[in-house]
Amino acid sequence: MTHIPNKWGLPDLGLGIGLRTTHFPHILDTWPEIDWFEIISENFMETGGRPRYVLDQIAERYPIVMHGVSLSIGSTDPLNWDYLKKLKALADDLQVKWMGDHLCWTGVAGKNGHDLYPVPTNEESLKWVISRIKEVQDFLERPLVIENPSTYVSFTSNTISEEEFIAGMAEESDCALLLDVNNVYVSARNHGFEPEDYLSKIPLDRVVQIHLAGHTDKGTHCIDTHDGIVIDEVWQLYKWVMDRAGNRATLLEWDDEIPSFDEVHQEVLRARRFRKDPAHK
Amino acid sequence: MNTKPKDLERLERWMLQVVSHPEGIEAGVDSPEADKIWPTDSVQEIVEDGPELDATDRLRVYADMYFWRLIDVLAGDFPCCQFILGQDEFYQVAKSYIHQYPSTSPNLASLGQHFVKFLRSMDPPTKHQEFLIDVARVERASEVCFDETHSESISAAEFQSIAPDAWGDLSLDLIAAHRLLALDHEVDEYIQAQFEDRHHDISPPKKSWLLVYRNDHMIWRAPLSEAQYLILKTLNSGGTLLEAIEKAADLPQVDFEVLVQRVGPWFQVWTGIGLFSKICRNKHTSDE
Repeated sequence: MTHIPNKWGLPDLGLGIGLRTTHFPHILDTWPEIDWFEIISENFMETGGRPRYVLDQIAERYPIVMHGVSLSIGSTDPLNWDYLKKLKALADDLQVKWMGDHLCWTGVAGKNGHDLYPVPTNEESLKWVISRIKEVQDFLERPLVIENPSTYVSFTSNTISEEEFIAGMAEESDCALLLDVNNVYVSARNHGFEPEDYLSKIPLDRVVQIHLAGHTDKGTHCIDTHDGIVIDEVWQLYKWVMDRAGNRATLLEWDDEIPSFDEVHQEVLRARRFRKDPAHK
Repeated sequence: MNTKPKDLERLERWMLQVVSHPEGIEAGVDSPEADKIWPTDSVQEIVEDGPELDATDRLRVYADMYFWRLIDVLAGDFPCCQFILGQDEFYQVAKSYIHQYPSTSPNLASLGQHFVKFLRSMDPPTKHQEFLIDVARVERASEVCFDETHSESISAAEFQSIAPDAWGDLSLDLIAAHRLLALDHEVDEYIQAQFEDRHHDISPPKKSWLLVYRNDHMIWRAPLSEAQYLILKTLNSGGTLLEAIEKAADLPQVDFEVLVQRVGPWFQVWTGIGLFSKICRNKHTSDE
């Protein structure tokens, strides 16, 4: 099978994990052999304290990618230019490989819920999101890497599927994509669609990064809790993508009940069995 | 720029109103505020039922997460307040606070910025309210200092290089990562005991003064005398060292001669912890 390179030629960074403060002492003591780290942008944007001090040292030794949770690209509130300026300044300081956020809104009417609320998937929202991504990309002077969210509701005003929305959004705004295969699984369970059907509509040439994570299965629905290992069904979705796209920078998120650095690292290294020989990239 | 999409805006406002209602999702759906945004007899007009959960239960996932996530942040910012109130009462207080002061910032570090004001306004008061307010002030100051802008500190050698006759007109800038607190209770020892999992009684009212600061990327607390507090407060307001000492000397219990002898060692300690960022010599002259 011919693999699909990403259209920006952004590198396959290998296998990384989310940088979490609980692992700071281990990282500073051992400088472990790991390919790269992803940071939650907001945790480092407005601090002159220890997190930023440690991050600066880590950024000297490892590739860093910025992943935000508060851009609120789908919100009907005005873009927060103060936030964007700080985001850009941090990206420039750290010389990050790329930066992104989620297809979602986090607040409206000035009130922030600090959650990744779903955007209704219809023409009105699509047009709005595309215009916002273009505006942000122009300001940041780099492509935004937008992630598919886990969602728990669907709206009666939805007229197209989420994967079609994402494909249209990426094409029209010329943004990059972060494909979270755990989110695909969680949403598939919550909405009753086939995850492979979803993946087959995603333009893989725009995917520069993959997210893996654990979730909580409540029986009636799944919640994207990032508190455990990756289940086999999610690994199979990862394999599906690797088989078609070839290697992509892959990151494991673990945000609750976080075990030791080594345990998190070992979990992401399980992805090796599905990755392709670099010669086939 | 596109015109703001009206249907999307209405949906977002309705959903956030519903999932952030303090009495739960059903109350949120039935609330006059939600009805004003989107009058509807049925949630299913807006949200589809899922394969396993109906529309209301699907929205409940977001509603549960809204308060859980924000209360968890507050508990992290105010651990001693949570200890004093107990988990259940803290949960209720935090929930009321979040309802009254919802987050308006992308940065969760700002979430607790009104918590002290909220505690002061609680009616009926919560248990140990006055003591709790002082604890909350210290915990909020610690949080603010943790994230404050970094400023380089002047060294002890730099400080000692100042000629004694220049001291009077000297002024000193304090680092950004500090807060000076005048409190109505001695809460420092209580907070430390709670941190170390030791018992300490809640004390009756007694004035105390505290310096909260960041040094070597750690947050520290240093109890102060009233004279020390006044000196640092005056310097922090732009006053000269002479003005600061004069203010402290005005305190009824302070002997001027004793104060003058003590000031040197105090400044040695404060310089040692990196409290000052800049020496301004002959400030009055240079300001003219």
